Amino acid sequence: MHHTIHLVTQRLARYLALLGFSGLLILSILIVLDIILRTVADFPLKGVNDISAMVMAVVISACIPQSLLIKQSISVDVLGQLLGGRAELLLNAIASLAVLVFFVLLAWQFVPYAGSIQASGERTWVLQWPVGPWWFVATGFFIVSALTQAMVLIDDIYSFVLGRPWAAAAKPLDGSL
Amino acid sequence: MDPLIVAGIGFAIMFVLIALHVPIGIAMGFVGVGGFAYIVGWQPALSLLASEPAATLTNLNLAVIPLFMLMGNLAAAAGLANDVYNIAHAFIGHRKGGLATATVLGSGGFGAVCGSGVATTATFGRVALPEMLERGYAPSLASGAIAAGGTLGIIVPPSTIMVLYAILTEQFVVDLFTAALIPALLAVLLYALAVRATVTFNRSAAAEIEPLSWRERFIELRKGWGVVLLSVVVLGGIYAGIFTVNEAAAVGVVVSFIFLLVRKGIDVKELTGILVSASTATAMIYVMVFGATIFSYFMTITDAPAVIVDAITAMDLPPLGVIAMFLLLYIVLGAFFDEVAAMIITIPFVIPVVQHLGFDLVWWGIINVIVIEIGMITPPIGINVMVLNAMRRDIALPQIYKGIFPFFIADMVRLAILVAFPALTLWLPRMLQ
Repeated sequence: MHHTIHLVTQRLARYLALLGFSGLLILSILIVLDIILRTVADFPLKGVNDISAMVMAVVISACIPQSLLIKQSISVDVLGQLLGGRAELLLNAIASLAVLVFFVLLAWQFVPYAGSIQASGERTWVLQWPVGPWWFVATGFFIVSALTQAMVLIDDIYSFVLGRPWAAAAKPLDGSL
Repeated sequence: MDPLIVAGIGFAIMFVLIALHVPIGIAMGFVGVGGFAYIVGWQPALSLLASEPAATLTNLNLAVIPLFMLMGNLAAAAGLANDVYNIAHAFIGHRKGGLATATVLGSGGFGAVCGSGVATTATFGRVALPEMLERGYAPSLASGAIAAGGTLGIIVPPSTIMVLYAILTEQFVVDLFTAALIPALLAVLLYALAVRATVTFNRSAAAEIEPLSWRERFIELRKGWGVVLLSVVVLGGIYAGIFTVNEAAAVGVVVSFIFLLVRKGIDVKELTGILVSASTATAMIYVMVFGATIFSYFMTITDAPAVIVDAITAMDLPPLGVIAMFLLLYIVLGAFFDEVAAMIITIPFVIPVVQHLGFDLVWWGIINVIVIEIGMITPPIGINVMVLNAMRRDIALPQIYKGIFPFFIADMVRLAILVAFPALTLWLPRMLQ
C-alpha cells in the first residue's frame, strides 16, 4: 500500500513538473513568435505579457512537488553528517516536518487569496482573462505539494524507524513516464 | 520586547532550524512569519504566506531564471558544450596544459549559454575530464580545471545568481550582466595563468599532444557555430537593446530546443529528463525566494538594518575596511552555508551598509558573485567539487582540492583587484549608459 501510494505520488509530481516546463517551452515559443511578428510584420501578438505572468505562477507551482519529492533544496547537513546513523535520519524527519508545516500553511493561505482575487473579478490587462482561476490552479498545485511532502515525511519517519534509508524512497524514476 | 531583540532572537532561531537540516528558504519563511506575528499580529503575518509567494510567482523579472535554466539544460543536451570545448581544444589543446586551458575557455564559452555553475561543472565533467585523464593529465589538474572552470558559469552572463541578486536588491539586471564582462575575462585570464603555473612547477601534470592541422581547426570552428549563434543572439540581443532580458531568455530556449531537435531528433525520454531537471532546480530557487522575501519583511519592521548601519558608521572604519569585514563574514558563513544562501540571508542588512558607504550595488553584486564562485570550490561545501567527486569516485576529494589550489589563488587575486579598483567593474556599464 505504502509502495503504491509512493509510486502514484512520484508519477503525479513528475507529470506536474513536466506539464509546468512544457508550458514554459510553449510560452517561450509564443514570445519568439511575438518578436518575429512585431519585427517583420509590425503585428505583435496581443497579451503575451498577460499570459506570461499568469502562466509563470502555474508553471512554478507545478514544479514544486517534484522538487520536494527529490528533496532538492538548499540546506546544511553538517550536523547530520557529524552525528550520522539514526540521528541523521531523525534530523531528516524533523526537516521534512518543517517543510510540510510550511506548505500546509502556504496552501491554507492561498485558498482565501485565490478566492479574494476571484471575488474581485480581477482580469488581465490586455486580454481581459479572469485571473482568479489561474490562482485556483496554482493553489491546487500547492495542495499537491503539501500532500507530496506528507509522503516524504512518512518515508523519512519510516526510514528513522528502520534505522536506514528506505529503499523505495531513495529510488528515483528515470526519464520515462 | 524591543524589535531589535526580536530580530536577534529570530536570527538565532533561523540558525537553529538550519542546523536541524531545515531548508534555508523554509527556515527564513518560518522566522519571518513568526517574528512578524510577534510584532504585528498573526493574521497579517500569515497573510504574508500568500501575498509574498504570489508576488514572487508573478514577478516577470524573476521569470528569466526558469527560462535560463531551461536554455542551459537544452544547450548542454544539444552538445553545445562539446562544440565550444572542441574549438578551444583544436586551437590550444596541443600546448603544455592546453587541454586544461581549453576546459577553462570552454567553460567560459558555455557559461554564455548556461547560467549555472553546477551545470557547467557537470557538463565539462562529462565532456573534458575523460579526455584529459586519457591523455595523461594528472587527475588533480584535470579535476581542478573543471571545478574552477565551472564557476565561470555564474560570472559569465547570463547568470541566474545575478538575476536573483538584481531582483532582491532592485538593480537593473542588464547593468550586472554588463559589469560582469571584465571580471569574467579577468577570471579566464587568471585561470589560464594558474594552469600555466601548475604545469611549470609540475611538468608531469600535463602531457603534450599532437597539434591539429589548420584545416582540422577550422572544421572544428565551423562545427561550433551553434554556441556562437546562441550566445550572440542572447547576449547580443540584450546588450544591443533588441530584446528584453526575458525575451532573450525565451529566444535562447527556442534556439537551444531547435538545436536539440535538429541534432538529436525527438527523444521523449531525454526531453522529459531535461524539463524535469530544469523544473526542480527552478522550484528550489523560488522556494528560497519565498522565504527570503518574507524574512525581509520581518527584518524591515524590526529596523535592524538601520541600526546596523548606524553601528558600523559609529565604528568609523574606512569603507574598504568594512567591505573587507563583510568578505571575511562571507568566508566564515561559507563554512556552514551555501554562499548563495549566505548572500540571500545577509542582503537585508549588508546592502543598506554598502549603499550607505557610497559603494555601487552593481559592483557589490559582482563581488558577491565572485565570493560565491570561491565558495563553490572551497571546503567544506564546495558544491562544484562535490558534483565532480560524485561523478568520478576514483578521484578523491583531497586530490581535487589540491588541483583547485592554483585556481583559488587566481580567484583571490581577482577579488583583490576588483575590490581595490571598482572602476574595472563599473566602467563598461557606465560607458554603455
